[in-house]
Amino acid sequence: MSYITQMEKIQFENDLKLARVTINLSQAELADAVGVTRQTIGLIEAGKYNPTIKLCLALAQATNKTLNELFWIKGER
Amino acid sequence: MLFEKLQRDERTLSEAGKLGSVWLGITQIMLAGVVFYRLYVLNQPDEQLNDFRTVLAISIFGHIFMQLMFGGLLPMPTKKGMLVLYLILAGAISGVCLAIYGMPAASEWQNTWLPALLGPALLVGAYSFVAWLGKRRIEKMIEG
Repeated sequence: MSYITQMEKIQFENDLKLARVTINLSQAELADAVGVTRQTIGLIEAGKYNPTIKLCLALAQATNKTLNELFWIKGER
Repeated sequence: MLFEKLQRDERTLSEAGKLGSVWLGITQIMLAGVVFYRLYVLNQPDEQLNDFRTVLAISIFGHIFMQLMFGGLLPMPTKKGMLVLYLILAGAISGVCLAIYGMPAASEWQNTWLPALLGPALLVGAYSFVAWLGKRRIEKMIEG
């Protein structure tokens, strides 16, 4: 039970939008590159959807970033 | 083209699952409402509701079974938890029946005490067994 509570407390932040813009990709192009919908990319950038680790890795690979550069826990940076 | 191409990803599948579960619950509650309305407001005979009740039972127990077996979404009770659950269920059923019908004749035990005491035992037993199967399934997946 405490594990779930701890998990729910954690909030993610990300630099996906900056990373995407840096390599001149639109949301749709990045979405195609990692195999998700454009809406999912938009929601991740807006901080309204927490992607799975698999998608995080795919996004890091597509934007030439490491996981730590792209995602972090709120308040830790 | 009438529709854009359907695109699926982890988010849309997850959302579809959540929404499906919520609507299944709402449908089950509405179906239960229909059964109670027909039984106690329209006073329809018991046998006219067997089809509704069968569908409702399959839906509810099927949902619980799937969650226990494949989802790990419901807790597996401990032995003490099973006993407490049984006592609460059997006590509630027996209490309500005693309050409505009074103490049954000893010779009628097969139609009175037996279902009231055995029914909850079967329910708790089946729940625990499927929960155990689901837990074993996940443990086997972890072991590889």
